[in-house]
Amino acid sequence: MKSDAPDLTVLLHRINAGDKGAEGVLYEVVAPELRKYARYLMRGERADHTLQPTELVNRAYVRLAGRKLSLRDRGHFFAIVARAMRRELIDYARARKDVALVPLDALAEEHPLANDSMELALLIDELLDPMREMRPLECSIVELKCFLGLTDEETASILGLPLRTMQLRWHDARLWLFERAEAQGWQARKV
Amino acid sequence: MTADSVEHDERLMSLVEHALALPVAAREAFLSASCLDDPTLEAEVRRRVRSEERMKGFLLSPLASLFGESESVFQPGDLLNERFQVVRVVAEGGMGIVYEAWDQTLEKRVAIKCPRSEFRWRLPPEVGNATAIAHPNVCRVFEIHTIVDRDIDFLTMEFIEGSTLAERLRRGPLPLSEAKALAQQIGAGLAEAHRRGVIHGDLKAKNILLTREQNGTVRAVITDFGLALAFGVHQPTGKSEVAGTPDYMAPELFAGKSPSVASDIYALGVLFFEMVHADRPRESEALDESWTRWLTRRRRWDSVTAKCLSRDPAARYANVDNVVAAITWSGARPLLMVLIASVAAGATLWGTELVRRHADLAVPSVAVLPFGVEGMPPGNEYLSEGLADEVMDTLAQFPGIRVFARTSSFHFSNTSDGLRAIARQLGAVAVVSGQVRRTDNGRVRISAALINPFNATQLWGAEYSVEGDDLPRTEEVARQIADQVGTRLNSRSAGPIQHPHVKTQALELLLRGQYQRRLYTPESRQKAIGFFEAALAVDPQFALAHAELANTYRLLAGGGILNPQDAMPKAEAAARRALAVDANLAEGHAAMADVLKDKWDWKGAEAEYRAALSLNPNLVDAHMQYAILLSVTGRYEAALSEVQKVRALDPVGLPGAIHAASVHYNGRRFSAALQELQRARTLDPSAPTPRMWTAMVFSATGRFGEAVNEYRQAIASGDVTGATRAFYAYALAKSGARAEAQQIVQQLETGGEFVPLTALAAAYIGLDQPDEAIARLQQAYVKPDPILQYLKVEAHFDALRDRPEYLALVKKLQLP
Repeated sequence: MKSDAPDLTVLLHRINAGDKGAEGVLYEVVAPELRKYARYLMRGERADHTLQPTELVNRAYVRLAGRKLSLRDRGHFFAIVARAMRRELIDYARARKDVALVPLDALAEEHPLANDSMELALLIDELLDPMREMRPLECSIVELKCFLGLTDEETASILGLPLRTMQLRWHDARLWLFERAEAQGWQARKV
Repeated sequence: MTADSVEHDERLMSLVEHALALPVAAREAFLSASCLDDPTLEAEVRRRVRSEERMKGFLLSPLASLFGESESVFQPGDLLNERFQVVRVVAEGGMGIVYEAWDQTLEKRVAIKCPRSEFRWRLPPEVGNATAIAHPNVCRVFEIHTIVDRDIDFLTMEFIEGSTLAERLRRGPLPLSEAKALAQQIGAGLAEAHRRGVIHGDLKAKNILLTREQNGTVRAVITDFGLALAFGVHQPTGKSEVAGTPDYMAPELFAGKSPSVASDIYALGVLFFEMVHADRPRESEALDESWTRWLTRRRRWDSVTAKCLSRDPAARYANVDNVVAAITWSGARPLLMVLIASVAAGATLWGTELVRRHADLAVPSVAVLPFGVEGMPPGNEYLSEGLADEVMDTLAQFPGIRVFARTSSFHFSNTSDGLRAIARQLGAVAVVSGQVRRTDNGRVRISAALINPFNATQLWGAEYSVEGDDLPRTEEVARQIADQVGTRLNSRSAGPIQHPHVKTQALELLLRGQYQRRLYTPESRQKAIGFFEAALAVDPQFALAHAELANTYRLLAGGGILNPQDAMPKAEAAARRALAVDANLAEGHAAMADVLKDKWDWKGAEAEYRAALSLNPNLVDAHMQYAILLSVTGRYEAALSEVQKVRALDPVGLPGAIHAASVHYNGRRFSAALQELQRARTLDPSAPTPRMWTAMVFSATGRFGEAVNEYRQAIASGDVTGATRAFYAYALAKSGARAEAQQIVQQLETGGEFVPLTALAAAYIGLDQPDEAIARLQQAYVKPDPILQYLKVEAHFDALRDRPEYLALVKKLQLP
């Protein structure tokens, strides 16, 4: 398996240099793993011990890169995987017919929980693009936390930040998103 | 990123986290108590707490998981198969959901586990194999039940209260002795399962429950036997892809082999490693490095671990019994022998010293110094005394160990001169000294040593490490230190009395509260109330926090800061709650005794003091308050003997000397009182209290000029209360300075300063206005003013003794 996989280090360096194609190649390499993970997540099995996100991404990384872990590459790898995961989940959400962008209030009645989450995910996805422009670090934090489901500790370590600093920026990021989401009519319907 | 900003974020976010962990109602008290010294920070913390409250958990659970409905199969209240009543969800794990339930047939509490994913609601029959294992270290599996019409299986199991080993290890590694004890238990359970032909298949820290037994020991219980196997977690898929918990998986499992005794032993090795490192052996070099690092300390443990972790299954132990035998035989034996030898040698050496000093107290006595604090973010000053207090409190519960009071111990420093002074002045045979320091990687190291103060040699030492953002855990470290020291000083000891387990966060809040209470300012005492209430909001079953709340309310009422009619019922309620939660808490009985004494219930108070002191003979405050009770009820000799006990525990502390003087004063042994006060003044020449008492003695014996002089100097040093000014007015009036005395009384009557009514009565006696004096005393009874307890013994009231109103009051107070 490893022999026909592209060299991860090379890929990462190309991505670093702004090569969009390389990002696509990398995405294709990790996609099967991600889709499997995404399916588990969608079944609400986040806590499944066989599929902790860090384990999963680490395993994919090890498979691709061997044991030559460079901390910077690892962080970068995670960031890309998180973005890919975001894409995967949002595509899934869009594909669901019943989430076609209906007025928000009309949605709430039928399937409050599921629709709520879908709607929120799409909203966050929309808000993340402007956020990346203004606050790239916060955006990465949101992707790692929301779409990959990493813990605070994992996120801090991957981004090379002190834990409390990460938590502070995460709080800021959530508040930023919350205020914009509220402005667009989002309401936290469940506690 | 500057160090400053890292520190700022650290402080800010840990306060935010702390506040948010409290119930909403307790947050305000916590916020105003914890960062008053820094309004900018306070505003920032408040802003974040508010926005967090507004966001109501917005985005806190990963978006992805919201896509699926996390279905809880059963709801609280459901009655399953007309037998099991579901109480609550206990845990949701990978394999399934665990509920607490009540078995109506057998009338006992059980745990129920049912698989969670929709297409696996039937349990594979192999799960039933685990029912064959009956061992204290294995969670008992009872039966598989099926709800026929819903096609759901569930498993009934022994209900075990406690946390998992994984949760424990998140707070740092275990000391070797504890790790060994747990390893033996886990090994015993695993060996029994293997004898029954059951492989665990997914042994890991999350599957080990730690439960506290009646006698206070910890029992390790392995759960989820065979579940992983039954669910096919390890089934190789033909590709290089394996599912499982990789860190615990033996190398052969990655190659597609089935779980076996050997792979369980590998997982056991990972657990052993994890217990002493709080981390898993992820990479081989980490393992190698640790070998050298720990070579001297736990060579045997590490070699057993290494053998379990052999890549080749054949190179591991043949069975778990052999693993258990290997660790049981070993331990840190060489180190332990050195320790025993030095303690034994020390004991003889100190023996003579000890007998000479305290012939009546042939028990080891120990002084605990405040911990040094280095490189910690601001706001952690309380740790210095907080840790020392915690060590003292735990040590004090060892029968047969005498712990010097904080006022005596904290008098000294950890220098060789300081140590010699401790040996000479206290007669302590051992000193505990420690240090808290932040390391470069953000962890906090707490080191402690047991020192022989006669020659400054170290008898025992240990270092503990906790996460920098996990300071509440320091309390646990303090307990471990005390346990180590306690058992070393007193091998006969049965260990401290066990109290109900307290949430660590609540304990940290308590320590912060105690620190504030001891700052002795009205503001700090009010802050202390905030902390104690916050601690109780976290853990309403925290008896000591109830007791502290009672004490603080009493202090605030007695000091006139709170209206006694509001505050004293609160104090009483808090003391009652303390005892309701933990009837074995000495501090709870002492708090209740104080409350009853304030209500003039002498008999009730005396019984409570005795209860408190039998539970903890080292409780200095209780000895002092009991001495006061004895002396105001006219039992001078008994009071004196109680004060002697204070002196033994607190030889150089000011409170001991002052209370001795006060007992002599109440017993009209004025020259003995003066001698005692003379001594107190050499202990702390700048303290106003000994001067104030000296003035009282002069005034009571008619030496008004000298009294006025002493009062003036005490007042000049600042820090005297309205009570002192009132007695000063008495002496002034008696010495002829009537106008000045009247002026003071005028100020006290109209000014904002609090003055106890009983003291004001004394001033009126000095001014020769007995009617005014009687009126104040009668008000003091109604208010009530705790100082009125001195009514019968106080020499300043002698002028009133023939008045019927006075006699009526004495009768009402039931003073003998």
